[in-house]
Amino acid sequence: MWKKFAGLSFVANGFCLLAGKILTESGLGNFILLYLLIFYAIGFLWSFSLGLKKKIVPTKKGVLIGAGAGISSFFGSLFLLLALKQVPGSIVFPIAIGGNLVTVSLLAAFFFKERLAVRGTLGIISGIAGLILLSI
Amino acid sequence: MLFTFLALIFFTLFGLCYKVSASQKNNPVVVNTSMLFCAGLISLFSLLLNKPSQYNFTTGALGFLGGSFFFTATLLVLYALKNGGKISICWTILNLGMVIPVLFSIFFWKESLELKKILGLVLIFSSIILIGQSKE
Repeated sequence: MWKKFAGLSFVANGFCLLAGKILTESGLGNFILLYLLIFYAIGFLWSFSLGLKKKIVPTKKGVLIGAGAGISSFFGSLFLLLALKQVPGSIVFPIAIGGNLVTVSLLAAFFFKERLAVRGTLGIISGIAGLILLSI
Repeated sequence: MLFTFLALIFFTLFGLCYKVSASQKNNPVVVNTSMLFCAGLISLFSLLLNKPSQYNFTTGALGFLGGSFFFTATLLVLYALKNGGKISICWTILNLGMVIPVLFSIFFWKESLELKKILGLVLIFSSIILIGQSKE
C-alpha cells in the first residue's frame, strides 16, 4: 500500500515542479513573487485545515524548524525559478532537486555522523560527478 | 548557473531542516504548516517591497496548482510512511518526481542536450537510486 502512496507522491511532486517550468516558459518570469505567494498560501491553507481536522497541537520546536525550512524553501524556489529563466530545465532540475539529495546525505554523514553504506558512498561520488558534468 | 547552485544550497538547508525535524520526532504536519506560513509571509513582504503594478490570472492559476500539488505530494509521503514505507525510500521517490519536468523540457520544449549533459543526468539519477537503496 505504501508503494502506491509513494508513487502518487512522485507524480504530484513532478507536476508541482512542472508548474514552475510552465510559468517561465509562458513568459511570466516577472510574476515569480506573485506565483510563490499563491503557491505557499494555498499549501498553507491545505496544511492548516489538515492540522485543525486532526486536532494537532503545535510544538515550539516544530514551529521553529518549520520556520527555518520555510526561509530555505522560499529562497530555494526563488533561485530555482530565476535559474529556469536562463538555464534549460533539463539541467536546473537535476542539479537543484537531484543534487540536494546528494549534498544532504554528504552533510548528514559529516554533521550527524550518519553511517554510509557502500551504495551510499557510490551514490554520492556518482552524484558529484553528475553535478560537475552538468555544470561545465 | 549561479542561481541553480544557490537553489541547490537553499534546498540542501531545507533538506537538513527536515532531517533535524525527523531526528527530533516532530509532527510533520506542524513543521509543514509552519514552513508554508513562513515562506508565504516572506513571499508577501517581497512582493509588497517590489510594489507590484499588475496581477496575472495564469500566474495565479499556476500558483494554485503548484501549491496544491506540493501539499498533495507531502501528504501522500506521510500516508506512505504511515503504511510502512521507509523515510529514505519515500523521500527518494518524491525527489525523483523531477523526472517529469525534465522529460517535458526535453520532449515538449525541445531542449537539446550534449552527450556530457546526458551522462551527467544518468549519473544524478543513478546516485539518487543508490542513496535511496543504501539506507533501506
